[in-house]
Amino acid sequence: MKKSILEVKNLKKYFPVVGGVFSKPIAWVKAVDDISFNIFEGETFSLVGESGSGKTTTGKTILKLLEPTAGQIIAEDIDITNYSASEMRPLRRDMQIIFQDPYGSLNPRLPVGEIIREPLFVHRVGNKKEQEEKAIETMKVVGLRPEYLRRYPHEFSGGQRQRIGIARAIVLNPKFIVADEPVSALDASIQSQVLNLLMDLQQKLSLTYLFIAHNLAVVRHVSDRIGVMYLGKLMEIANTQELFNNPLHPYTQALLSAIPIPDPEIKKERIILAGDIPSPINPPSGCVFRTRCIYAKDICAEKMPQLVDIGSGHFTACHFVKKGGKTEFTKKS
Amino acid sequence: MKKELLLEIKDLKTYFYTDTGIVKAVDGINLKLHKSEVLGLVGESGCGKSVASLSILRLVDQPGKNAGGEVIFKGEDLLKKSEEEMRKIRGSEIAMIFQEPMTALNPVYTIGNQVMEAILIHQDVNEEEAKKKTVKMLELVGIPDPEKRFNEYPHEMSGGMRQRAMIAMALSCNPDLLISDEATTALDVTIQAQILELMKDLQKKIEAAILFITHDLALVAEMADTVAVAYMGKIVEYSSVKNIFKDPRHPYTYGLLKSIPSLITKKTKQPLLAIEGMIPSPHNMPKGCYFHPRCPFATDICRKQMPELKEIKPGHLVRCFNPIENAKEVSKK
Repeated sequence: MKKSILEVKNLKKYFPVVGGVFSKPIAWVKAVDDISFNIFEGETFSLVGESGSGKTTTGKTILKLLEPTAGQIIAEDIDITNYSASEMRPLRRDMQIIFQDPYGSLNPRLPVGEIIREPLFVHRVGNKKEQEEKAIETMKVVGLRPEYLRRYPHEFSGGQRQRIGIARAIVLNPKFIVADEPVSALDASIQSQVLNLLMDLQQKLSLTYLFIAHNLAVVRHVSDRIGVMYLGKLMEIANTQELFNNPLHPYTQALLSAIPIPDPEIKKERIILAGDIPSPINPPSGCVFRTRCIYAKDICAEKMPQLVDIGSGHFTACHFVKKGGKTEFTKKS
Repeated sequence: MKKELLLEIKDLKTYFYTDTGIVKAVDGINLKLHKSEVLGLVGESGCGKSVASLSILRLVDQPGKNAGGEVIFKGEDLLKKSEEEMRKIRGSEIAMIFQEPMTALNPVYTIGNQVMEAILIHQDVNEEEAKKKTVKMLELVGIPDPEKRFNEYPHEMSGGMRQRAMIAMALSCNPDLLISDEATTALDVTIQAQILELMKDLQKKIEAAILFITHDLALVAEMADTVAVAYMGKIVEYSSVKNIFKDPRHPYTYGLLKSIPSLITKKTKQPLLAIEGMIPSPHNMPKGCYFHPRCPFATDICRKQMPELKEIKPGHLVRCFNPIENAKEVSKK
């Protein structure tokens, strides 16, 4: 049995929309709305979804960079849901994050050596000399030349900056890293370098990743298991192979069919979804996907389907997907 | 069957005269575009693809300047036309769709107003007819309830709807040439699929040629008939879409194709083939072939001399001294 390194139970994160004279909340943005999943030790679990699906909020809430509205976050048998910032601090050594924007996430006024050393300083690991040595060693690990120690972030390219961000995340030898769109800001040729580095580090340092991305081809390449999010809810969770070979949720099917394929000879049948993602302030009743679903029926407007295991770790939240993966889709008349 | 030539770019150069030196953003490119053909121009950031498109319409701002070459559109050189004549061509005969629909649209005018403006300027119609035509255009690009949407402002629409409005504006005067500069990059994948489908559909209807600029090779495979690959202001490979994907000859094209994870690769969690290093600084270009510092096949001559764009088989042009002979054999190594 694989060991669960992180368990999320019925997690919710709502943001208030304030208005009126007294700035009272007049509505709530349901960024993450009742999601549950496990992440096992040593695996890469990915969350995919379009913008506004709540994947980044999930990542940040898990690390308690945002306070959850409801639900439970259990990190290695410890319930950290209600931990205060100071209680969290020792745990943060084991839980790190890599951000999307390699420009905005590095302090422009610190040289690279200091940026990478800072986590060691915060957690009081070793003396200054040891910290500097560790920073240099980590720079080598991520493929940065140690001579660049005294340079500032603006002197580096996007790909190198992302390496700095990765170095900062791994310098404390964490067990778990949230990688939030780590390659989406990079060019194709640089993207593959960074993806290779992340996979290489996972092997060497036995890391567990929560990988957040919108690019399904990238996600397919790096993940062991994938969760598909839509409007704050999880629609489907499955092993990578299973999800791509046998997507069961209508949203996953449409999402996969929408991906362009770099081969001019493959012409595939597209499911073109009509319309846009609804507003998370006022999501549709019942199943949140029903407004764009080609199979939606009356029941979909009444009841949100639960995310259920339909066999061998494949979870789907759809009224018309039954145990064993049998589907009972019929098109709307 | 030879199609009629619509646009021919001959040795076009656009240089930026900056304080720190001349940046050759577009450095002598040659392109041919026939009637109702889709030409994909691909490359990573900084390769000059956007500047090339702006140069065609003569929209490059200071300190950028045309530094030579010809842009023959329907037999006439656009670079020799007066500003007055250019204004008549822009938006009517050549239209453009930009990447970011929010910044490309004017926030203080309604969508209807902005689409109608193009029609009023370029066509001999009165306001009432223009309005009717605008509503028809909005309907054509799949905006629901076009009469109501006519009076909405850009901020009231979603990204996909705004991009549809942009397309409506671009197509309102039946252009012969449509330039699409990363038109779907800012959109989610399901919305991207909608917009691409729309563009393909409309292209067939109005028989316009499209210059399709993107960084995403997969999109080119879907959309283009012919492909030009750009690197540092120069075209490095030019051929039919099938040749580019099945028989790439330039090491850069080959590396780019191999470095993107895609849904058709069999193995996942394997290192991707990465192009080493990064693009050179435009202020400090390498001698010889611009790609040689990153090229695994570089020889002495590559370091000294820039290769010519040569036809190595009918319709397949490559700028390389050591073109790849057989892509399949290389991948085995």
